[in-house]
Amino acid sequence: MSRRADFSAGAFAIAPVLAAAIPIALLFGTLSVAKGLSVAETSLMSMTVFAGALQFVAVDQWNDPVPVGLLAFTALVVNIRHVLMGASLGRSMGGFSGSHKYAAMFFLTDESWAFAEQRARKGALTPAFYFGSGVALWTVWNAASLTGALLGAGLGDPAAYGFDFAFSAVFIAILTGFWSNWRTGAVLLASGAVSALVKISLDGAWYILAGALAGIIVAAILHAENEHPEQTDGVMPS
Amino acid sequence: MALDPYNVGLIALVTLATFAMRAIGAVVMARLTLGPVATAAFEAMPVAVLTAVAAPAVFLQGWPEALAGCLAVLVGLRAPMFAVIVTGLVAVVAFRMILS
Repeated sequence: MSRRADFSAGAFAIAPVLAAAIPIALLFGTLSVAKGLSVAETSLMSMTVFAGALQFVAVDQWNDPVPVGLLAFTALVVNIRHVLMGASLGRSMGGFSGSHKYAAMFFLTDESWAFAEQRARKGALTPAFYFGSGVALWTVWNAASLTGALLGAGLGDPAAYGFDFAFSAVFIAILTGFWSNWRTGAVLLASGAVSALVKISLDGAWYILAGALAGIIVAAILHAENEHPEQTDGVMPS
Repeated sequence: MALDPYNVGLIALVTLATFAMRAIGAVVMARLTLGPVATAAFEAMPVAVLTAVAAPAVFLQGWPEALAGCLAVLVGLRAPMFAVIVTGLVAVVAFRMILS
């Protein structure tokens, strides 16, 4: 496939996500301006940070004064999943030069990662395909975020359209895409329950770290338990 | 109104933290080999973190959000991503009308 066709293939593959990203980015722009950031600052954040979930969490903390340490910490914790996604995707990036790799990581989102992994499983992941989906999502995300910021309060109450729930709906959609077996359910339950409990009891973003840790610990324990019967079978005389 | 230097500084901080996490994975971690338990823990990280971010917003807001969330999860086990989002949004508006 030519580079150009590959670029288009990447952009088309991510099209359903683009449609879903528009209301979310509109909502982000609106909320950000409501929180006191200017239209220019809102756009700057969408252009340079380009991380849906984190942008909502960050803007949510934009109070007076902004808790700088907590903001940096949240940015690291919310995005730590990208370490794993990058580590996994990095193995399929043989066709990327060093600088292409860094540029590619700027465009890393949960969605473009998922499509890149699918592509890599079907054949070779080319930079053109990857940047096709990345640039398409970046462009749509920024156009809609700017529109949302400009419309601002003019949109009226986002809750009337259910848009305030868009963020949660997107996360549920991403999460169910990760579902593989009952262990996924156990991780979901552990992190969800701990996160909700900590959110009720502590201020700030600790609930994200606590919930995430609970899920990771459950995953490690379930894996360790899974290992034992296999080992026992191995030493059983037959 | 335009660009406040303090706000720009904070946005730069968030940008840097975000890019660091994105780059470390592909450039450093891709060269490491992890043991089976570490791999299981790492593989669970996206689900664990995303759930921890989303769970309070779904289950601590009220009944309409919680019910719409459950419905979206059920739909998500079968349907594609966009259908899940639309279901969630339509359901939350409907449950709010019914339950208010």
